[in-house]
Amino acid sequence: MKNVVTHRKFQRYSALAISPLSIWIVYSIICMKGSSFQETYNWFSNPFNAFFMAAFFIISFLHLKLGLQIIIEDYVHNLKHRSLTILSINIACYIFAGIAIFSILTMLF
Amino acid sequence: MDTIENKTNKRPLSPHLQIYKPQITSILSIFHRFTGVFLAFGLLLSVIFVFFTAMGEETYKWWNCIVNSLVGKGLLFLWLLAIIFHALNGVRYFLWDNDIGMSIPSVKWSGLFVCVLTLVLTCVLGILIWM
Amino acid sequence: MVAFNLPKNSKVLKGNRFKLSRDVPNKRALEIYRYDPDSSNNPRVDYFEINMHECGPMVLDALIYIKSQIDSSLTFRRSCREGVCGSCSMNIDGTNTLACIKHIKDVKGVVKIYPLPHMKIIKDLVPDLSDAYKQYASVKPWLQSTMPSKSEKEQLQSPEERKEIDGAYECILCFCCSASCPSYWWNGDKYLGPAALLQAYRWISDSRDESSKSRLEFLKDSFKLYRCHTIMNCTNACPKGLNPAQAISRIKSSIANIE
Repeated sequence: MKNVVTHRKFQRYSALAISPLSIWIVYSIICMKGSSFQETYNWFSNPFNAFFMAAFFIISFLHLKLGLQIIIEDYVHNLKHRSLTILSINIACYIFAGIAIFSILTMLF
Repeated sequence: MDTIENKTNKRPLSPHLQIYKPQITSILSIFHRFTGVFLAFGLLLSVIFVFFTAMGEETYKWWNCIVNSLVGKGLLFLWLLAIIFHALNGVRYFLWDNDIGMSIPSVKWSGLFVCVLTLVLTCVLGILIWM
Repeated sequence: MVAFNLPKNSKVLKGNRFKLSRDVPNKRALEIYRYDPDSSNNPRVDYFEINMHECGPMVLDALIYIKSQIDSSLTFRRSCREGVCGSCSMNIDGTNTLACIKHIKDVKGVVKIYPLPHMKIIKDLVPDLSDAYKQYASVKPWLQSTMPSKSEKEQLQSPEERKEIDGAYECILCFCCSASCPSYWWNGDKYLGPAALLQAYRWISDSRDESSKSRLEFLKDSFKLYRCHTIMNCTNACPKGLNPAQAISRIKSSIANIE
């Protein structure tokens, strides 16, 4: 993200969105402890759960990408290395978010 | 003979990290950063978990073995600690963005509060998850 | 990558020891960073013992005492000796402060004295502040206004408007804050640092200044302003009790509002 003001806004808003989602996930982990494979699978095939899990992954990866960008800018001073590192982080974020969405969709349908 | 330019170039850098006394301000700030990076790895692992669940019972069980091992539990506990700290400390940044609690007494007080609350919440949730 | 370690020529070695010849009841020990630009040696830490009976209560008093009684080559900046000039800023007992208003009795054990952290050192406790001054100049620290020529009257400020710059105009430019900021350590060449930004805020919030918008535009930069991650070391260090972190946060809000 080039514009630093937008960057900050997105970082703050994504943080706001993740908080309730994380609470919900920790709550779900507590409720589901000791559950079998089938129970876990069924939990994921519930559209409500699937939607919020997908939202969690997308927003979390956005937040992660924005946060790591700041850290890389702080510590990697060589401009070429810097943009390469940020680019690879972005690509990794898209790939992993893609895997998460793909998995969730598989269980949903 | 040393020219002035030569002298300017060989000037040493004064010690920084080596001598600066740890402050609650900088310690919590760097801890926010550490937990953030640590949570990034946690997020990758949770993607793998979801992926393995979607792939079927075989891979799910294999993954579950790792999660239920001592190392897996330890990592999960640290991850819980990290997410709670990162979230609670994040609230301080929101308040500061809105010009609330920026005096040094407030900063120290809220920092301490975040640390204590993190430990308490982590223990309570840890007990709820693993007991 | 940023260097968290000191470069080879900056590693601090053990230096000379100046012990008292006889034991006295109120003896204090000091460790002082020394660097001699005329030798090719690395910086070193010298150890001094002084009799507090012969010396004033402040760290600056001890430095002056050492310079006049033990080692006249000890070099440091000082002027007002009462916390209004900002010359004797240095790192005492692990935090940046002014030597003239730091009580020796507030320090436990050996008093460790270093120059301001992560600065190029000219000699002993004297850092090269030219980059910091350049950054200060870059925020145009003067009133920009066309008003007087139009109205031919003095520009009045209401008490409320005047209050806006309280906590910002008192800065004495000792750079304790900037030199305490890890972000300034790693990116001090591009990040303006808390001292310069507090002064930028001082002019942005001045009701008589007419160019706050261009001032904000100038600061709207990923490195000049936004390397501030609200670590708050600056506010913790300021010997005048000012709050640079809050000023920076307010600048960020103002920029977000004009977007």
